[in-house]
Amino acid sequence: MATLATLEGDGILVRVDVPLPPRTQPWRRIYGSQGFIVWLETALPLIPREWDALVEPDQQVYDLLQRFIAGEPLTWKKEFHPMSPVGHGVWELKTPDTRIFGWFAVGDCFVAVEGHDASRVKKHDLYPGFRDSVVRFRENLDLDHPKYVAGDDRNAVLSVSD
Amino acid sequence: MPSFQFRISPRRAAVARFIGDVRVALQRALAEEEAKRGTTKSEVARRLGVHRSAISRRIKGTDNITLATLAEMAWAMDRDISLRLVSHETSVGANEFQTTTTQPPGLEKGSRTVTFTNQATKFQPVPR
Repeated sequence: MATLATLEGDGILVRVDVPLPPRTQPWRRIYGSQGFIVWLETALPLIPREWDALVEPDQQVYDLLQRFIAGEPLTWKKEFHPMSPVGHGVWELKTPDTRIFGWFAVGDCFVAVEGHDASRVKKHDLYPGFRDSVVRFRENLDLDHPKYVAGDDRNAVLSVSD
Repeated sequence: MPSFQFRISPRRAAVARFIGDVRVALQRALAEEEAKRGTTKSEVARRLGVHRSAISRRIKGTDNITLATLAEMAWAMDRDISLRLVSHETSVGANEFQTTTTQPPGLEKGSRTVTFTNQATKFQPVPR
């Protein structure tokens, strides 16, 4: 069995860092699958801006990840929420034009498996497919149990920095 | 295994952060006003003579919020806007661990550059 650190060392998970504002220390962690990292690098910059009047999708994700890592409060349902059925422990991070699917390995530690264009996810109802993809990815990891934070309690997955 | 550094140009990052700051400040101010004084999104919309959905779109970012509409939103929530332009000279290296800090007055750890100050608390009379 492995820890997140072991999986990171093996290159199965990659820690995602974003430059933080002055006087800010990291509070939460986010890891990505190799597929998620490829999405950040190649697909995200190509997603058209549709639901935000001012900010491009890569800027939206940049701001979301920055505030996530800095431990700032995120808006329930607008920026994060559990996917149904909640028993799977799969969560969605959201910006107006993007969706990020993954799970909380422990509180304040999110593992992102998939990212996608929000409009396509909604138009083609891709939610079940991405949820199942997260579950399959997690099941195939030789990760110590419990592998994820169960339930839909927002306070169990996110704390807020002082 | 090295981490993945997700970066965009500093210029675009600054835009993303500032606009994010404004939206977060609006959301928090509205939530606080609703909790303290019962000022709902509908009430803000009524004061401004617009539909409730217009307020939602401004906060979500679907609509382009101008400085004028931002000021109107603050007015409708009985709030003043506090905006600071902070010199980079006071920010460089501030992410790193320091044994001493020399932060400018009023700039707390990780604080935002945009806030909405409640007028009721701002103009409180001094107790005699």
